[in-house]
Amino acid sequence: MPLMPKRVKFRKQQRGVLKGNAQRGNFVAYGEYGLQCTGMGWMTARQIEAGRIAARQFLSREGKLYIRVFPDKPISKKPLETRMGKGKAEPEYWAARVKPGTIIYEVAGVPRELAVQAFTRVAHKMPFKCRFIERRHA
Amino acid sequence: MAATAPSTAHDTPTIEAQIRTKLGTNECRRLRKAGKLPAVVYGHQQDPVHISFDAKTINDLLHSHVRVLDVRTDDGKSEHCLVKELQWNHLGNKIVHLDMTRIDINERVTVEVELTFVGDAVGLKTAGAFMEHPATSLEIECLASQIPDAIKVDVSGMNVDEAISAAEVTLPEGMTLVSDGELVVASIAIAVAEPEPEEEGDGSEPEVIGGKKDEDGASE
Repeated sequence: MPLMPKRVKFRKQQRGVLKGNAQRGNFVAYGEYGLQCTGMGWMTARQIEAGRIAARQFLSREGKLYIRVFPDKPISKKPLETRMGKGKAEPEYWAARVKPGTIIYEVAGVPRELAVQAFTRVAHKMPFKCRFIERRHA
Repeated sequence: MAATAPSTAHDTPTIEAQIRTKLGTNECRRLRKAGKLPAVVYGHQQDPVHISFDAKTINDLLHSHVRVLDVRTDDGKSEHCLVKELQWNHLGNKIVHLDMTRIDINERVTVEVELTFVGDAVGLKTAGAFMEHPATSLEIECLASQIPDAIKVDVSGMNVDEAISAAEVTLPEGMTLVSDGELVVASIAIAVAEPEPEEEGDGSEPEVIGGKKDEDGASE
């Protein structure tokens, strides 16, 4: 089951506009290595889940995987062959807003080579370009 | 459990800086395009001075863990400065601004020092065990001339479900801990298999806070 909020204040949201770069969540905070996106867009809950499964299956039971984004934006979609109008459609799926620099996944407790391989597989499932990143030290 | 090796302090390198008179975002962008790095020097109850460095020179120094610099400005002044804060770009791969504070080379300063973990922990031989580092640096107080590159923490004696706190890290002589002593710097845990969430119907929706759920299907 993909991620989604437990409680929301409003069922539907306007689309909004994504601008600029990530000003928060743009450094590796929990693990040692991370996957950072360099593109911008919505990342659906299914994409987040696909990435998690890809990393988890590759790492088997090694290390700890952190998901740094959460799909808290409801995206509505009109059914097929529906005329325009008649109000906003029902929420279809949930998405996370991702800006250039956002860290999507982090991993701790695995060697660097393994983390690179795992995140390479995950990057193939992402809807934008991603890059491997290491924790920045003081 | 945790031991440290005294590390060598750097000689204070000298770096040339140009005083900036034009300030602001656009001017800083122009400087960066021209291969300069904007910076500011403040402290010791003097007015802040806006300066710029040659980007390559300062980056080389910063990547070699230099903390204290002898900054020589183009008006002939020279003062010892401590790197206080680095500002990075959104991808975290480029320094965009530098904050420096004036110091006396013999005064005690508070700095953040990286921790390096040495030794093979006994607990990591257990299947599924992994080491977590909630904190990878510690704030310490020491003489400006004796800032270490890194503090070594020996983790070889660690077992599963054990942790090393900041207070347990033995600091080199003359250094005192500023960070919270209870801060965990390393712990070994066993990775538990994430429970597979049960499959729910497609129509599952989150609860709406306050107010009844609107049930009127608007689609035609």
